[in-house]
Amino acid sequence: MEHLLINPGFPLLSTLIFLPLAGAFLLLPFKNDDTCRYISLGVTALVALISLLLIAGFDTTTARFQFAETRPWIETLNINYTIGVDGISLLLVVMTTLIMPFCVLASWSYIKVRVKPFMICLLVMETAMVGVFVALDFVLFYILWEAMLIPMYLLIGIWGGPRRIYASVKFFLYTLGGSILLLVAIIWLAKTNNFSFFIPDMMWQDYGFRAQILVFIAFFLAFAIKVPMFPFHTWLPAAHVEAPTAGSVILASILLKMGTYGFLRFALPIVPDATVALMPYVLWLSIAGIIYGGFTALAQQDMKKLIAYSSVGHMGFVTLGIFVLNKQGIEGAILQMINHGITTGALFLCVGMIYERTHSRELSVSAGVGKYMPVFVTFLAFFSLSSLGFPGTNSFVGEFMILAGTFKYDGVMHGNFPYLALAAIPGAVLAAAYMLRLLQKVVWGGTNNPDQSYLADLNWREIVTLAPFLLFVFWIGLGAQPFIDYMDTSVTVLLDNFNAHRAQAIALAGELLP
Amino acid sequence: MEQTTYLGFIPLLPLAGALVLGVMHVATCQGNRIAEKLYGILGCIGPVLSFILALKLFFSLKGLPAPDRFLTHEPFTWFSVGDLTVPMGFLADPLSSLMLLFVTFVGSLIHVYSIGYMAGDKNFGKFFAYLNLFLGSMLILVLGNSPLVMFVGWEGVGLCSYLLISFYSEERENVVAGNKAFIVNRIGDLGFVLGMAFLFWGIGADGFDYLSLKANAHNLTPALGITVCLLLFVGATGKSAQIPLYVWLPDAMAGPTPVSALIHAATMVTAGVYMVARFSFLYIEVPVAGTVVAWIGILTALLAAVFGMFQNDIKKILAYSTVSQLGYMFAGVGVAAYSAGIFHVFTHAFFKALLFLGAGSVILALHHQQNIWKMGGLKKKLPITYGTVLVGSLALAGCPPFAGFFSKDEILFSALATGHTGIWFIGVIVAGMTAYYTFRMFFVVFHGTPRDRHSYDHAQESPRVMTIPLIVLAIGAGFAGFLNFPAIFGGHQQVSHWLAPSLAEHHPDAGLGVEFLAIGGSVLAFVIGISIAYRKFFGGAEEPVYRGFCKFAANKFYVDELYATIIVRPYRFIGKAIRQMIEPYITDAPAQGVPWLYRMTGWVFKVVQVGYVRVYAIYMVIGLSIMSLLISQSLNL
Repeated sequence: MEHLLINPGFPLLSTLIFLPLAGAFLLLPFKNDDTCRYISLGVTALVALISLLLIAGFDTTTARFQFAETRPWIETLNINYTIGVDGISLLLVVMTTLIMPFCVLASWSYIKVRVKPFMICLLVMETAMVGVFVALDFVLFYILWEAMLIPMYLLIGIWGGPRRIYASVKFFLYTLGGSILLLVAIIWLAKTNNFSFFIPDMMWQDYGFRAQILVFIAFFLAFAIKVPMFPFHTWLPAAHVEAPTAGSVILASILLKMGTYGFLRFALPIVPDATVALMPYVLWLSIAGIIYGGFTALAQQDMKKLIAYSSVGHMGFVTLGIFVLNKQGIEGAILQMINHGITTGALFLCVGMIYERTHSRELSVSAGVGKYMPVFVTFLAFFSLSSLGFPGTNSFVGEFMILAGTFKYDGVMHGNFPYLALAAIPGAVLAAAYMLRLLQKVVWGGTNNPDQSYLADLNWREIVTLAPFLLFVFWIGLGAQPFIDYMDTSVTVLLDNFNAHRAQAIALAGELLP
Repeated sequence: MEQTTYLGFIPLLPLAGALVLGVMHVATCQGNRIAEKLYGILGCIGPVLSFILALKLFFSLKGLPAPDRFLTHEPFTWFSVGDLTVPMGFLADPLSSLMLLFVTFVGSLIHVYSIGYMAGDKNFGKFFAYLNLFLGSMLILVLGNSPLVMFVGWEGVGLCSYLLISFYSEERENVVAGNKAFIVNRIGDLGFVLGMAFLFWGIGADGFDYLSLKANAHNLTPALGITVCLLLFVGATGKSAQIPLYVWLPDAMAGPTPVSALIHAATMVTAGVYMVARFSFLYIEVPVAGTVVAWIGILTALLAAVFGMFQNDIKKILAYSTVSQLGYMFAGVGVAAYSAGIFHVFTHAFFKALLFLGAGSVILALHHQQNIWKMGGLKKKLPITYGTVLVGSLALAGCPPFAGFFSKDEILFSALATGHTGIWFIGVIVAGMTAYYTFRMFFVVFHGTPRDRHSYDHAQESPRVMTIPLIVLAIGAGFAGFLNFPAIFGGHQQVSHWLAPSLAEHHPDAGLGVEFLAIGGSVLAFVIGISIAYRKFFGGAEEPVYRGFCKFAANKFYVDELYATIIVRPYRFIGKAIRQMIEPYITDAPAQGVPWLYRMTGWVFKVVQVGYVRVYAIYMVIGLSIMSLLISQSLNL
């Protein structure tokens, strides 16, 4: 198979997938809460370290899937266990594995009851998440994609806030409902391709325009709900508000990326003509998300809701970057996925730390804690700056690349006037307004609040949890090039194939295609 | 061009200082404090070393032949995708080296002064961390070799400005002022970002640093050129407080006075002027954009001067005078007299920093009294402050031969010589108003009889750590003008010549008559302004009650209230409307509708599912009958 670079030696990716699962089984006999915490931390940290081998061994000169493994799984249906990473998924996989130990750390004292099941959920979650990003068989992908919902449902439903049942059911049904058509599309695609579920086999085929549109719609529903794109985002604030800190971090940093990853991995290569035809609508929905998310975040009183709505806006930038279909846009979008994972994940960690102290997510209750928690507000300030796209931090680089890509798209599509770029821009002022509001309240506000001097500043565990995020905020912010290099070849080949396919399709169909 | 590694250290030294001080402060602010002296010394090391490096840089540039005066340092690529390549690098040329010199010089002096001014403040360490961070960002802004690197510094100084305006955060209005500054600047920054994106779109593919852009500037279409220039200027109106975004600067006076001197007078607010001069190769191609810049500038100068004549707070008077002087600078760069604009930036840094620090000395002596109508007769009590502020006031008012006179005259002369008679005329009127409001403040504060006996009796001259910077700055304010001594008096215009390689500038040829007209107008305006102020305020006057137009002007034409009504409130309203109405009842409606549909369907079927066996038996009979009917039909029996 020319798409795969089979990994002859140690099965690195399978280790990353199954080690957390093994860790979950390992926890079963233990009763002591602390033992469970330490074991989970150890397992996730080990997985994180192993994943660094991916970075070390990754060949940036090829767009083929590396560290690939393939084994027959359900032979009668031609379903295989095929996995591999390329430049598009590599950083997402590594981000997932690197964030997990910090999710365990963030739950150290936050989760006081049923610690063992909680940690098992986290570990199962990690297995599913890594699997989704590396799966190259569509059935494997779909199973893991759905399997992820169960531990997340439990995380929200058991360890969540007061309205946890409502939030978890809404999350589960909304995202499940979205992906039902995805299964139909997968089976149809496999049928059309001689019952091959191998994803690269499905790419760049000639399915006919109407079929492509239908498949795109199925993809779109599944992925847009996951991202979430406006107006499919209403499950997100509910889920975030009720989820425990680690749940929010996983949700924001990793789960949301699966939607945008899906667009890149499936929508663009499998249904390119439909992508081009429906692109304008997706782009304007992205713009709507940026503006709508910003305005809504501005009016929130609940810190988690505020950050949840800011995610809607930020992910709008990501989908904008993907669908302008040029290099700056797509690479900016991938970088921005990582950036959003880092920044928003860290912001949710920060809110969790306040919540542990004040037992409230209300902005007004937390107002003024900065006076007693100088270390905490220092972290919060840096992450807020990153969130509002401050130059020198990670988000600025991603957003600028996306903006440059959007300008290019405007140049091609709209003659000489950058409608799209201009429409996206007010999002930046909104981001400044809502993040400053959060920061200002937390740091300085609330002279009327009761005495908060009992609040303890961050302990060492919490500092260790936040510090790596800060490191990446500035690392990507000041030297983004190494990160971009990992994705460059894959994105270039993706776009080359895309343009070649388009040229061919236009030549074949003449005027029929848009 | 050779790589000059020490360029990188000029901004890095203060940034390192900020890091060290910040960590020290955060680590100790809860428990036992570190001695102020240690903070003070550590805080001053970075700026002073940067100043020394800036001097070294200046002399190594001077050693080169004029056209080759460009030194770069590009440590690494920031990011590069396709044809968008942005190096992280620094560029030293005559323009940036001049900026460096006075930024680090004035910056170092203000750091020293702050040791005295901030003594006893519980956030002493934090203050110096912020001040160092500011200086580092400002140096990145000046030294950056591409618009994007400049933008890092541009936003960095904005952040420090925000942090320092909100420094006394116990007072809620200070925090609000900080927010206002940040968000208003952010609006301007959008212009900057869009301008950069258009610029990249037009000519950025062959390199996005200044030298490449300059080489490709002729490829920019006129429409795109105007767009880029105007958008960049929108950014400048935010940072440099011009119409319509000037509203944040007077409120920014909530910060400690050394901050007002360094950030909101001498350095940061002049970044917009620097930017226009930096892009002179673009502006020279589109004179229309330049004309817009010049008119916005001179109208801002006029408006701020009108407001300045009716303020009662000593720092607000100085703040409006800053806005007004910035207007002059834009008028200068707008009429393509870039070196004149930059020269005014240079002299203004000295005399305005001096005036603010002098005001700080007065404020400290009177225990944080800022209302000029509570002062009076302080000449005897604060002799050094009095003398130095007098020099600063004369420079600001444009009295020959103090610094402000030469630089302002150069701008007005350029306006006249390039045929912008209207701009020149307004400029002369504003010069008169400047002399009036400057000496209104000066006479009320230092002459006459004390209005508040108690605070007058307790007032005493500031310590030496504060007065020495005042004296040094006074020397600068007195003599800096001679650096660009006009040719008409037999001078050499050294600053203009020094800047020439960096700027795309044509010096206008004008006769002696024009030159004399310009000088005569300025001197006449100064004399009229100061004599009115002398008559009204020298002998002592009481706080006036404003009526009619004066009240309107004292309330700043109610522009803040206007903005609140037409911009701020609608924004908040939209956010609230979405949260309370649109999100739950419209966007989320499908998500709520589907379960409702299921429930309704379930409810309908519930009627049928009664739970009695006999009823199910009837269903079975009905079903079987229908089935047999269908089967019999399909079998054609």
